[in-house]
Amino acid sequence: MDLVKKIVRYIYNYWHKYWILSRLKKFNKFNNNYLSNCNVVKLNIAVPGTYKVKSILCYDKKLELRLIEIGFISGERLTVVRNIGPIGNIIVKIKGSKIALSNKISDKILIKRK
Amino acid sequence: MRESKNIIVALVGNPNSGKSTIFNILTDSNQYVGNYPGVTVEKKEGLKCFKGHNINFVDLPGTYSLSVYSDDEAVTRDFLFKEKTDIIVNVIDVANLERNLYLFTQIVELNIPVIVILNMIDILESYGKFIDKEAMSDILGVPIFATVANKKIETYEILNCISSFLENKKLLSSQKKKVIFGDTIRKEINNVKKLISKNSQLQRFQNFPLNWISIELLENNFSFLKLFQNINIDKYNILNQVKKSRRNIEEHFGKSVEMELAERRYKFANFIVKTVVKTTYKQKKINITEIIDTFILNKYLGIFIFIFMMYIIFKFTFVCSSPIINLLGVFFKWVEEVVTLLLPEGHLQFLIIDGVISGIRSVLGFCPLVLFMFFSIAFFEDCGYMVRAIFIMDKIMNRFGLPGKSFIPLMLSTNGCAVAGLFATRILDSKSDRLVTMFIVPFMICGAKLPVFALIVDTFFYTNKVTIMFLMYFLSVVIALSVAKFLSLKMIKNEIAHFVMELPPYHIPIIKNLFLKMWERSWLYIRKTGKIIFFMSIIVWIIFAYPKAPINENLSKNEQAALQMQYSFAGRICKVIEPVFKPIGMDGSRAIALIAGLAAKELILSTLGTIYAINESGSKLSLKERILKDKDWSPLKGVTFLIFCLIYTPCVASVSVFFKETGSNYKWFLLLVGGNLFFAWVISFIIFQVGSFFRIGV
Repeated sequence: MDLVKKIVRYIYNYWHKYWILSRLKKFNKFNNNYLSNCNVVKLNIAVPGTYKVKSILCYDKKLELRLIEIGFISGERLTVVRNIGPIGNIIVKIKGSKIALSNKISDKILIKRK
Repeated sequence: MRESKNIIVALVGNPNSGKSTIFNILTDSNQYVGNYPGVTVEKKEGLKCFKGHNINFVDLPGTYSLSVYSDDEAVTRDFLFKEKTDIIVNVIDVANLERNLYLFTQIVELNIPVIVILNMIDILESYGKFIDKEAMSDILGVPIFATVANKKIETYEILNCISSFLENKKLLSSQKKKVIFGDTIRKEINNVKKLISKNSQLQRFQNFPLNWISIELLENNFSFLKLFQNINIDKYNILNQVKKSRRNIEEHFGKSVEMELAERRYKFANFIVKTVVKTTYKQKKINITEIIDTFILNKYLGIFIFIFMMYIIFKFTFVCSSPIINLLGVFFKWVEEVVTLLLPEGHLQFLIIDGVISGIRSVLGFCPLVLFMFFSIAFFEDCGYMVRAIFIMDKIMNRFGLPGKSFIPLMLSTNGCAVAGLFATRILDSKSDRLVTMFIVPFMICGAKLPVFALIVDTFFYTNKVTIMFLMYFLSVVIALSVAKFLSLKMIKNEIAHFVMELPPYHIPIIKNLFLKMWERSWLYIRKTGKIIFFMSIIVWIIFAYPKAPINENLSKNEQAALQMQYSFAGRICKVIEPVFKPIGMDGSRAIALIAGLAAKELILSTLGTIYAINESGSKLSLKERILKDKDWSPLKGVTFLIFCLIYTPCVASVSVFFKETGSNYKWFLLLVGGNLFFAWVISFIIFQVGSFFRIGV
């Protein structure tokens, strides 16, 4: 029984540490980017909050057009609901609906503080 | 055209705006709908006779705009561009009014009469808002109807409006409000328009207004440019002017033309929303969708919830269907007894009992299983969980070189039919992703394979049948994903997979819709089965029952059956193909069942049923009991049989759809047919030989 408790505690500590560190790392990255880039960051590293769309940096014109049509036009209000990890997907609220975006796409969208 | 009594009405709207539900109400049809994008990947038609008019409704796949991003959206674009549409019914989800109006701004430019249906008014009201549809109708210059898709509201008025369009010329010519693009853009549009008007061939292009053609060219709409390139005219001057105009606009506004035009369209939509939507009271703070999403979309918890949901589906299916399957077994035994009493002993009686009834019983006996499986999946689709499952699976799928959206075709194939899954691959944006997904869709346990798996698992692993069945499904996913990884790494160069998807709010499924969906998918299975199984059962019976072996009275009943087997056509075929199947633990009769499965997977079970019925003629045992009695079967052989059945060449219908959807490419066709067969043999060989060596399940 003790061994089971030890294992559970070990797993808990490990994940807790991992979770805290990953959050901190992300938050630091976000802050650094924010300060050094005149309050402009890429969407994929944004912490939950409200922003405005700055621009889309995309070579794929078809994808750019699709993002514009969905509502990612400059100046549009956007809320980051969830940003799962450094390579995970991101959920944003734009034009009243929830949109899930892959990390690769959110990497192409620049946002600024509202 | 206008004087004829036939009207073509196209239903257009954003994904998940409720087009299919409205289509069902307007046409009184039973087409199924879902709370996730991609339900409609092909246009569906429904006829309604109203006041002497034949109104042909066409339900088109959902799209955010008229520019095409995936193949299902191309269906909508092609229909509007190429077919002669009399009226467009634009279904607008009022909960996302601004985005839905973006598509409207493009549709009105086509100069085709438009009717707007504002759907999901109840959701807007729950937010404490209401919409002034009369004001909206005055501003936009089109008839507007408000409806809650689940209830029959204003159906008569909508149909009346459609039919009155033909008679009332005033309605046709009424001025519709369009987006104001400003002086600079208008000047450039006019420049392009002037050049187009000089060309008589282009002027008549699809009967579309010159203004619209000019905007599409300036906007660099890929789908329109593709059509434009196909026209046999001198395009040099026009394209040169377009380039010049685009440069002028970009220099003037400091941003791309697409961005500027989209902004103007959204500004127009925003103006409409601000004018017609009024807030009555403050929005409630509690949002059920947000609360549920906290758990379901959690990075770690999401995967466990997903596995749990899948387990619930299997548990529900097997527990609920088991008593009905037993009842059906009793029913078929009664039918056999009735036929024995009614018909005199002879060839006809044997043909009906051993051939037809055995074949039909082995497949239709499992119908309850399929029905309950469809029902539980329909429940999760309608409540809005499936699209979240795609989101959760995206990260996992990406590791195997697939986008998260591939989950929809795989899920459809798992529920119902590989053919439906192959069609559903149209929702994928990238061509290579689509090809890889099309290859792995047949590896799923479809509705036709399900009875075979259920029978073998029930026969050899009765105590743990739910767990083993779940593991079988898991195995099918593992095989499919491994093949996807191999293909994306070695054979098909994968482009970057983009994942952009709307997450609809959760809602309680409507029971009627669940039953409709269950029935439509089950009917597809029953109809397909019914068409082939009757004739194939007779053919299988004939090749096993003829030519007749000489009757030797010294032989026992079983020995006489074995002698008949050797004498029959099937016995002779078995002798030829047995050496190939022997190393994977299969005798000739099982090989014949698998060959019959190439026509349709349902035939595997019916053929086995007929073979055992002939071999043990007069016995009242069920197929499961007969397999258990057969000494040539073992749990290991059962598993090997299932794995071969899972991987080998898909049925004719799937192969032909695959061939068509891959653009009639023989290379991929041969890889699917030959590659799957070879792969199935190799995997079965390894499992059988390893199992025999360690004496597992022997």
